[in-house]
Amino acid sequence: MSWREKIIDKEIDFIVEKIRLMVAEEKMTPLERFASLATKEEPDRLPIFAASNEWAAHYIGYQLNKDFAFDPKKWVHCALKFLERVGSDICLPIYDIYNIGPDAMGAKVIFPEDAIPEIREPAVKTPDDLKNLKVPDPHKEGRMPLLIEALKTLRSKIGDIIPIYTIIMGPFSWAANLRGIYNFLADLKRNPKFALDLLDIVADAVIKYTKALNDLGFAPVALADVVASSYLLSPKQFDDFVIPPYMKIQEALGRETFIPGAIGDYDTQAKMFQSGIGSSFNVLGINNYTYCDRTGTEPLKEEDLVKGKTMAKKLGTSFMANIWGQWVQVHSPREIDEEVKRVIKIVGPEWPFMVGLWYVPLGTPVENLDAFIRAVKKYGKFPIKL
Amino acid sequence: MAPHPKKCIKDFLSTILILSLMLKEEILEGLKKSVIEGNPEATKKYAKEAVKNKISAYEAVMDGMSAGMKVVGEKFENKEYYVSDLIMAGEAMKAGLEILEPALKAEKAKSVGRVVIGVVEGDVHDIGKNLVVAMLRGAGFEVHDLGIDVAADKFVKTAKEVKPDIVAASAYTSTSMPHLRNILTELKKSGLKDTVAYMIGGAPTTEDWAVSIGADGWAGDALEAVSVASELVKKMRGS
Repeated sequence: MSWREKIIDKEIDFIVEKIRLMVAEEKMTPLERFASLATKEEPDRLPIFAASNEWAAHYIGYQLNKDFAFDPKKWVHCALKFLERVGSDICLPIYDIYNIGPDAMGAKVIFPEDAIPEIREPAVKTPDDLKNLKVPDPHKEGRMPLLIEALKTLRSKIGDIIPIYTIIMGPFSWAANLRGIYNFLADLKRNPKFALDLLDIVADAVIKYTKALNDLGFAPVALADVVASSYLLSPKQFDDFVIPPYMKIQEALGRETFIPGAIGDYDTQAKMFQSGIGSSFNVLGINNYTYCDRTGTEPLKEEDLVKGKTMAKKLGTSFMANIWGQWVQVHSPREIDEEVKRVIKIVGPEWPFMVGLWYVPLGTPVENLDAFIRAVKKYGKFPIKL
Repeated sequence: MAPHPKKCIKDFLSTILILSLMLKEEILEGLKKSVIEGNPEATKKYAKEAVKNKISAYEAVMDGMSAGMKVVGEKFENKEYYVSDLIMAGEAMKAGLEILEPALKAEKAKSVGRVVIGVVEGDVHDIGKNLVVAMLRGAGFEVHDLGIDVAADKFVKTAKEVKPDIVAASAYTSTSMPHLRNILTELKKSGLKDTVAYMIGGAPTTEDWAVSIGADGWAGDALEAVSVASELVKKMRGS
């Protein structure tokens, strides 16, 4: 082990100690808080679902380069630093979920000097390429094993007090990234059989990866599927192309092993849950962001929040109001405080409910993130009276 | 009594004229329909027919394919059509234009406007940009698509070469967003900014932000991009 790695290990241990002290200051641990989502018993305060490891990377001083992309120790460092400096009731191990699966199946990912990696060349250029597509071994191929390593480390450090959010890519987004999103959306109309064949192979890959994680004790596995967006797809396309791979996954693994449509948009999640996909871990979220539509810079709409909480109640799922990082980036701590208060006032008394903070852009002032966390802790204390 | 030879010739010419008008109508309708249906092969076939039958390429574009694209835009707004339909309509439009391009040049047809467009450096998200390209072409714009991950100097170099009315750029991530400002800086440095309007878009951008960096136009989606571009062309051409 190099001296640099030793220093990171020391720093990680120090951060973990600090997190433990912070957690001990509150009545419940984040793990207990999240468990209360399932038991439907009111916790001490609303759980906070916040994460941004790329933001934490810059906060620490890491460059988001190729070395970083292949160093699970640094991912762990960032995930823990975010918990310690900003605060969250959940721990996220990775910063570029969308590349991991397609990368392991042959898509060409580029690693810039200091930005989130991107898929530059799809693995499936023509229908003939399907023949060469292999379901990857999660313990051997691409960066899949690195994610497993990071998850294991995080569990060993804080798994007894903070839930480790195990997240991989959902089948529709995985297939779209293997083919190129534009091409894949064209295929849905131009060559639907090809699109379905690709989705079928990808469903097998999701099954294998989810099973490997389940076998290691990581369950449920969240399947992030933002490309399966109601803005991009017609209701018929949703039924024809989004539902079937999820059904296949559910039949292969059982209901309680995964969370479908994580970080997806409201309509997508509602449709999935109504189609009988998913488990008691299902979370229906309202975002001020959707893939290719809302930009994340508008405040959450009251009617959307009311619609969301009503639907969540009907479906028997938890509800999450996601305030997108881009909104938080460009507003003052005072405005953030007011917005969190407004959101909790609209939805708060309806338990189970969470407040989310996603996609914090690089360079977001730490004071803004502090304001967000402070506000949830202040206004989200049970019994909520606003 | 046999008809007068002059009348025979007149009748014959009228029949030819009616037949050719019918044929023209059929081809334009075919172009329109194939774009609405998002069928590039059919669009290509009708575009070839248009060239073969010496139909004005400008008419084939405007009264055929663009008319179809207008219907596609309406259907998209009414939620009858979705992104896949827009993409395939755009592909059909592209296929037709490839056939008609030489004839358009020969006719010296004046485009509605000329646009240089691309996704900024460090960004590979091109769905939005591709839809904008399709809709602009559908509205009769001449579009020079630079693709993805385009450096600011490439925008400037191309703008110098093709002399567009508009340079348009998009960014999808907040990390690549600052490049939208860099392009404007480079356009100003090169002295092109006086003759070219600068238009931006993309998920993390807003109209306020576009105004704050000094862009001339901003669009939230592909349909809005056409109306903003049309306004900018009018402004730049002083009409």
